[in-house]
Amino acid sequence: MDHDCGCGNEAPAAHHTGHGTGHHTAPLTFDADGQLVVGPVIRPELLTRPCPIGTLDGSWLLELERRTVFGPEVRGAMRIEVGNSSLRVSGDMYSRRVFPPVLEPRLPIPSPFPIPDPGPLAGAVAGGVRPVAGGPDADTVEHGAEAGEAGAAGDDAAALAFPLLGFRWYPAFPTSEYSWYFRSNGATYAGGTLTVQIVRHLWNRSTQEFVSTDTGTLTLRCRRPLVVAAAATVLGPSQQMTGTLSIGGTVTDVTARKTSPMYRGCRIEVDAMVNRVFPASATIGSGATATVRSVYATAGWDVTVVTDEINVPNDADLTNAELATLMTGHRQAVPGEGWRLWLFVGSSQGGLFGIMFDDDTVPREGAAGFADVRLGNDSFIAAAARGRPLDEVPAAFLRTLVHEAGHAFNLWHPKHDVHNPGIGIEIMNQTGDVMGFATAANPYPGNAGFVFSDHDRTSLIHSPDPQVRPGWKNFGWGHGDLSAGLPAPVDVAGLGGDTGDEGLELTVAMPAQAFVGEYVTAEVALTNVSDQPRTVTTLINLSEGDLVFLHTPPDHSLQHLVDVAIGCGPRPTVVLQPGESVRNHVQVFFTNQGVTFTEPGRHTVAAQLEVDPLTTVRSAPVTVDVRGPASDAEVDISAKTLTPGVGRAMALGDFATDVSARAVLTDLAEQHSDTDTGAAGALVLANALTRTFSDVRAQDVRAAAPDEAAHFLDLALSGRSAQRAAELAVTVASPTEKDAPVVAGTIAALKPRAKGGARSAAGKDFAAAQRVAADFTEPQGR
Amino acid sequence: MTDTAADTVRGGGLELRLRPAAASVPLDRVVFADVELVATGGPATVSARLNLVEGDLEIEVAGAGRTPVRATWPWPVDSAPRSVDLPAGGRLVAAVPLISSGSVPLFAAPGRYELTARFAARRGESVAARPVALVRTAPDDAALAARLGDRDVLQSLLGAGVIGAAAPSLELLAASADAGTAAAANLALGRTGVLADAAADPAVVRAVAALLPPGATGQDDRRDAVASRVTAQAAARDAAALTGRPLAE
Ligand SMILES: [Zn+2]
Ligand SMILES: [Zn+2]
Repeated sequence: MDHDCGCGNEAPAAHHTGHGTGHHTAPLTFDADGQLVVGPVIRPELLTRPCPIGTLDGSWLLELERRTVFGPEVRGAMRIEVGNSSLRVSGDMYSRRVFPPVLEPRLPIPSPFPIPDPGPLAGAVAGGVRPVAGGPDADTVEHGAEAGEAGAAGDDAAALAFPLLGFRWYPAFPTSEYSWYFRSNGATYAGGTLTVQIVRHLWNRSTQEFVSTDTGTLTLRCRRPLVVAAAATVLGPSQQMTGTLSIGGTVTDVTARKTSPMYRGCRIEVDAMVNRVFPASATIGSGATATVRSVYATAGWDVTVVTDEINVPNDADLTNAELATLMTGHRQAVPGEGWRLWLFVGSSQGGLFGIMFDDDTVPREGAAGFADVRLGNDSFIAAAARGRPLDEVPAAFLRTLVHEAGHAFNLWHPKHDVHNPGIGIEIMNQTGDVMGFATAANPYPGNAGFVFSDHDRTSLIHSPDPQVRPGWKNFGWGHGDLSAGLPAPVDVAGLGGDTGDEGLELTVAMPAQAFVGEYVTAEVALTNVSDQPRTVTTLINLSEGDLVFLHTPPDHSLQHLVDVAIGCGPRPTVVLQPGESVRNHVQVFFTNQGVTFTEPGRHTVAAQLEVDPLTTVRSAPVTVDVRGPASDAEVDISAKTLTPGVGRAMALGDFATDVSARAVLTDLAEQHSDTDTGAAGALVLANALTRTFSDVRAQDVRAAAPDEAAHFLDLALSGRSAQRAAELAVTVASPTEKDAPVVAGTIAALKPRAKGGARSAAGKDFAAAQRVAADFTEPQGR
Repeated sequence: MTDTAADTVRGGGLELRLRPAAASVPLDRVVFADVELVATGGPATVSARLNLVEGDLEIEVAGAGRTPVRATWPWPVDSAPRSVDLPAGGRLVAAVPLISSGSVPLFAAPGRYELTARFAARRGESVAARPVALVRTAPDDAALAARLGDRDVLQSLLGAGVIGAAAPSLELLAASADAGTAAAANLALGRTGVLADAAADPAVVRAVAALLPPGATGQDDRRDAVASRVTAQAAARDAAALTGRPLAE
């Protein structure tokens, strides 16, 4: 089995090995951009290993290499859906001939997903939005609003604090170039190679129907670089896979570039009639907050809601003709091929809650919900909702609007769906059917499910573009009378490497609460719960590739793999006797995805550890309730830690040549060392200033400043237990740097506290601190 | 899940009836049909959504050698359940247009078709009507039949308003010798006076009731104008189809 770290190191024997080779003992070196520089022994391009399977999950741009300059340019969207024990792939390919032929065929840079204009209701734009593009978009406004006084520290500063994540986008091309759809018919993923048996459905551009099928094999290799290529991407290099497509008697080289951890995106423009209220968010039955965006995120859709007009002139009753006219008159012109939908908050149309009114020759571009229609007075309707206009019951109105938008993506009512998926409480059921499951004890809308059924979720993720994309095939193609659509992709058989292991237990302990900008650490422990000795990795840190965290933000958009992959080396192992554990403390404040907890709300984090080349174990998820900073001190801390450069410095334990990060860290340490966040800042400074720093590109050397280092170490340790001080020290030290000065320095500075003897409270505290440090420098089972 | 009124067991006793307005209709005319739900047993509380708009009523159309298709409204809608109490022997009456499956013409060619209606009368209880035959004959005016199959035109008829570029075709349909077809076009064209003047013709009332089904569509001056000309004694059924109120007998 391939445990290929690319460093030319064999997995060592089943005993603990030291770190006497390569960069493990070398001081960290950064260039002028703050980029980590590794020693000359290691060839960075070799520092790769197979991607964890979760890396595959999401949207990819798939490009076929042109066979000749006269050949067509073929590229499209590929969606890989990785579930707990499933892997499905589908894609939509578009081709065009490029005249005159160019020698170096290059894809036109696809227009990124448009950055929404916040509009007049910007503060109410879908909650918990991760930035679609890491810029000052609607999310900034949302964040400023929810973070309360954090905004006072400067909205722009808060915006800039978001690291540049790069665009999330979803490959979209002119419908006139559509060429074929493919879906998986079984797949395997092993050793970093994804092999997909595909069924291809060829499209007839004249009849606008699929006409024939053939089969082939798509092979893609996913390698994960361990060394960061560019400072601009901080710690998150873009994912790319290369491989071949074998179909129709030919083999073509292909490249896949990841565009998003989600599968598809759509911009939804909301216009509202005067005095009608769009439910920007609603409290649903579970007590959670839902938005149009969050509901679509449960189906892997990246929906950006843009509230535009809110004063469309009044008209008490709307016909479909009027709705069509309103759409023509009020819909924004948006250039490019990105998917978009117009959602209207209107008055009424008889007794209807909502309608997808657009089924003309460019169909499914608009849907409407009706604010004025009133809920009934039945016992199965929540007392507070009885007799109320729909827009005074946000959960009910939100459900209707999400439902109507679902029709625009060609979803049908389950009871009318040709596949007979069965009725229930999910989004695409008619409200009447959901009410059929309501009782006086569990009334509507509290009983409604704000999720899509599996049948509809699969359709949203995998059905062909002509079926799903607004403006293409008519309503009824896919689940209705026009066509039953194409079969869904077939699941993978026999996933390797993600099977878990009943003899090992991975646990994560984290604080249950945190505020945005707070320095958060976790303790990760791997325990042998079997009755046999087990040989396991000791690399229980985020920097060397064995451990990753799976992070789910409050909007339930897909999990992100987070780590701080910078190092690569042999995988040292240790034998765990039955009942023994290896453990380590790690920071989860800042990773390759930037600051982890930027959004108020309930986050979940689970750890995943590659124990050995054949075994990956996953922890139970832990929840972290994140709130905005509240006190003046928290607001100040948040503003400082979210300053660009500071998070990275805290993740690497060094500010490199970033003088502004150094200045902010200094203020943080001087003003807030009573908090763990301030102490962590002090420890970063203590670590960095103890030693010289070489800027290889500028051929400059930052001199050591031992006096300053000692001062900051003092700040960090005072008023803090030895154990907690040691925990913070090991989390700010770079895990690839086992001899980081801050760890040794902390233990040395704490030692005098133990003079009362090993049995004293102080002595026990110091012993605990020593264990924490030992877990970092030389992990052992115990 | 049994505390809704609709679930109260009353011994079944429901009968659904479907009857096309004519047994044979040329393809250049709009087909309408009457639908009735009758409480043949005791009193019953049933869904009031006896129309093609809201999804409780489905009519399947089977032509020889063709895959059956459903008569459906072009636009999917969402609405709250509505119910109505029928006395023993009482009837809920309605009219339906048989124009399209979604936005595609329902009848592709002349021929004999079999129509089967099914109605979700109560939660978990669906009532089917006995199948009935309908013959579509060749159009007297093939060009007019083609216009009737145009997406904008059939959506205009079903949406009771002009959609897209349908107006010229609707003018031609408004001149049809068939009162129901003309009424459907006049409704879309908003000619309230013309409709009111023709309200003595049951075909006109049926067309208005079918295209502006009570409950699913809101208050409408065109429907009100026609209803005001229908005398309750002379045409109790017509009035009931326009209002959605059940008939006692
Ligand atoms: Zn379906
Ligand atoms: Zn619906």
